[in-house]
Amino acid sequence: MVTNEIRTVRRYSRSSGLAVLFSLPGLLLLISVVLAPLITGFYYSLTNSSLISSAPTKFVGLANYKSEVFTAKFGEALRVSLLITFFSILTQLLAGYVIAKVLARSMKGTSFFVSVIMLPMLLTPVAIGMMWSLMLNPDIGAIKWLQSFVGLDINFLSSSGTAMGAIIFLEWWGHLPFVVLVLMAGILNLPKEIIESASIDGANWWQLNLRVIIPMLAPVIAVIVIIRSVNAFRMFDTIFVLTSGGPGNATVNLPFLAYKAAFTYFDTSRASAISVAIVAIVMPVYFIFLKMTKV
Amino acid sequence: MKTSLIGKVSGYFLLITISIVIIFPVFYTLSTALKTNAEAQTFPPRLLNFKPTSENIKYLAGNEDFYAAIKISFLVAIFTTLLVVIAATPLAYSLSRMNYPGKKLIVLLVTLVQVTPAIVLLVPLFSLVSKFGLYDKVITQVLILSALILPFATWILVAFVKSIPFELEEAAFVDGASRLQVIWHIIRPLLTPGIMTVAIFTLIGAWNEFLVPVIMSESKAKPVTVFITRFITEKNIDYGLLAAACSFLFVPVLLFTIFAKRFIVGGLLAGSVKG
Amino acid sequence: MLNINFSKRKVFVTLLSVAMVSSMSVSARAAQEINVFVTVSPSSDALKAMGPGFTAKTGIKVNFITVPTGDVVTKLLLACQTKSSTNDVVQFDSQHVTALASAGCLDEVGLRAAASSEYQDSRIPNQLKAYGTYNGKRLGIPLSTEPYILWYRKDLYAKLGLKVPKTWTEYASNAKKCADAGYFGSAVPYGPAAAAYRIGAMIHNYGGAFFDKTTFQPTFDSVQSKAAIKMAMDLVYTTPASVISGGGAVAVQAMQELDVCQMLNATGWYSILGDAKQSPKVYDKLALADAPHMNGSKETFLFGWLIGINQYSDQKTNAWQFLEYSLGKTNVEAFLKAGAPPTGRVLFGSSQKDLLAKVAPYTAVMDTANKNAIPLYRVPEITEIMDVVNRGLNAMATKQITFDAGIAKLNADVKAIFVKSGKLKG
Repeated sequence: MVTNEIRTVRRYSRSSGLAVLFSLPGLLLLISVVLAPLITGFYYSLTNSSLISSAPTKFVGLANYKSEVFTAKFGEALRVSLLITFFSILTQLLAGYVIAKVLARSMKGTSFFVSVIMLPMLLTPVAIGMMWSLMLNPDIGAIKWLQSFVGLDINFLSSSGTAMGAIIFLEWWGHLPFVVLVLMAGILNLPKEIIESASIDGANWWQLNLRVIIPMLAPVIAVIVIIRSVNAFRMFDTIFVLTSGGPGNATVNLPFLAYKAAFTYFDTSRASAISVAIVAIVMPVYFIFLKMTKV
Repeated sequence: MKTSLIGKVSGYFLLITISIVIIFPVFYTLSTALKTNAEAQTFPPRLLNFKPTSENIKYLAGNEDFYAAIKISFLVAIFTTLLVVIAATPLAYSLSRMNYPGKKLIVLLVTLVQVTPAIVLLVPLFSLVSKFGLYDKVITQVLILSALILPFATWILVAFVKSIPFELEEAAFVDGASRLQVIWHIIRPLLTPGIMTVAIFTLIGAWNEFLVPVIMSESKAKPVTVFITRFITEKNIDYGLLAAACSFLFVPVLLFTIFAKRFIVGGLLAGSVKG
Repeated sequence: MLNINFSKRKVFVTLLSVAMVSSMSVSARAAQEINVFVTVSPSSDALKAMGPGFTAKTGIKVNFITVPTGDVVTKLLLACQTKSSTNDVVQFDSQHVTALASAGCLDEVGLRAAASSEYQDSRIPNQLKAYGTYNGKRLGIPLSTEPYILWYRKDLYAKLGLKVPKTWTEYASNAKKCADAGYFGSAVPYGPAAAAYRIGAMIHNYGGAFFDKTTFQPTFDSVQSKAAIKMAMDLVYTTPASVISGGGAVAVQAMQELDVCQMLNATGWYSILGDAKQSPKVYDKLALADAPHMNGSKETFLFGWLIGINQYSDQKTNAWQFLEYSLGKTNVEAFLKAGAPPTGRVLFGSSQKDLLAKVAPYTAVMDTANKNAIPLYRVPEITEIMDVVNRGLNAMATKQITFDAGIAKLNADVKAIFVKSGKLKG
């Protein structure tokens, strides 16, 4: 009887015709929209192809990599990408943890606050970015007005530090809901007995959080860091509408650098070289992702 | 644990503060939408004490381009959602419950999309798209967006499939049902909340998308997100019209959220914590 | 979470049917129909106003495709890559003539213009013809002509006893006096997408240049260029903060809202700044004058929209007919009345002159400017050059970099572009 069942189950797992049918639509999409352009992009990166030239394309070897990737400009854009990623996630985790802890208390009105906090994640980033750019106008914007109540007058877009701050704030604002909701779910799923026994044992608030709760949340925090870092690293809309990379080149990140090469200079090949380099840079995260998503 | 009074007060203080930080830009957008451009540019800004005008809304309502853009936004969002659900649901099932050659490749590809910035794909995709005469077409945006959203959708659904006990399927199969019957009658109903979550995220994601249409559309397939950029350019800044157009983008999402909240929260829970 | 019972399948079905219904209304392109590709500008609004009259006269339907200014050239290049005829008439900026011509996007519209008695090409001054010409081919005719001129506030000048500046030294001293009196002295934009245009014009006003036109050696460190940039940077402290990180539109916004004494900007803005409804605070307080100069130089940049015909259009004759109708002699007045800034063509009679004096009282100033104006550098690298110069000047204005290091960086960045394209040796 038992062996019979095992045989049935084996037969059940083996229906490979059905598997092909099930995976085919997804596979076709991925091949045409992901694999094909990646290969094409790699090919372009080795040529001189450009939107504004009608001359036949020819191979130029690694020239595009030499002129676009191994340069101070690329390094600077990489630094901007990493800074945005690091600081937006750090501040999201700090704020997100405190907010999630409060929400997890299930006080009256929690459900309403969850709805409000959810909003930024759902609203159109490019529209939000444009509205922020109006509000950040240093002469007539709402932020100047709000600052005047506390005696400040900072022109956020005029120095590299504050412009980065503004970009990081928008990234923080837009993706805080994700961090809060996931952390809240994580906190609600924690075994209550352990926390209770720790507090009975006389652990103070700091010890309880740092030694008990946060270590137990480590897997959840790891998921947040991975998913958010990928998103923050590829941020584009906000920079496009808020600073267009300025002041100077202070907020040009890697995707913006690639966009400029492709759609401002119309140079497909140089943009492709930058793109290939970006893929190489995200490879470590790719392998961590693969490890995490065992199916 | 009981929350102390101080804890409660500081908790509410925190929640109210963060809510203000979140709501202020939204409120500012909606109020600016009701101002003339001249009034919208006065300093200090008048948040409540202004004379509301319907000028901007009337202008947009009478603008053919805007209508066309809204239609495109809807079409792209709905067809992308359909395609993502149709592709991701069986894919997620096959990834979590079947063994077949090529499975590894799919996992490699799906994960690759998740970590690669879209711009990397869009530069070469643009030349492919123009070669095949697909530039400025709704279908192009639908296909590209579907592929970009597919990984997220698949992982959420994988988490949902995995939470369905395998014994349920086994028992039905032993009872003589075919695999397709098992999937249709047992898996599908249990998977509905997961599919809803995916559909909602895709619908909102496609509605909000900017980078793909800004590159892949010109006129006939231009959605609202690209349409609004005309109000803030090197030659022209119109606060009132921009805010009104942004409000048109926000309002459907806001209304939608009221009914979809539990799926959004539930989906994040399933996708990130259980998965 | 899994126990949620979903009962709103109906919503989905409804959404689906909405999508189906709306996708069915796909209209095919009729034979007698042209597409006009325009951006957001007063001249394109005027062009749109000409559409119905043209259709009534010829039976040819006119569709307008509007894209944001920053996207114009990208969209045209992309469309032209597909060799499709989606656009028949196309509006573009003179600085993009090189890119569009290199990609083979434009029909030689000059041939049609020269042969048309309705268009009366002989009344277009030579500078304006050159403005649309690349490699000996005239690819665009003027839709608007917008040289940079001086804008100033009559009331503030009178109050502070200032004189209309003839030189940049006088402009700078006016700016200082305004700043000392608590007003803003200047609104020349320094933003990362705008700085190179007006400061570039100043460099030419001083007799300088970005680079040598024959050797391609950058010349930001020449005495004239350096003096112009120095003067521009010294004006930063009298400039409204938004204009330091903004562009031409932000400068206009600052003029509308704040007390700014003077600015250098294109004539085309008159349709906004001279309009009582759009600029209630300043429309009657502004005056226009010749742009200041230095060192005996009269040179400046010419700006303004060009319009032409897509190389891949299958409606070229109809497309030209529309341009002839909108920009030809018969409808000069109708076009101006529809809000178009004038194109700098020689006019026909006193009624046209009277009309022009009313809608564009700056015509005399504009004609002087046109005579000394040159188009932006006609090299294929121009968009990239403008980008690095924009950003370099912006970095200097926002103190990311010192003056000397900024000049060196401008030279190095532009040199790198020419090295990359093979015009200079590394």
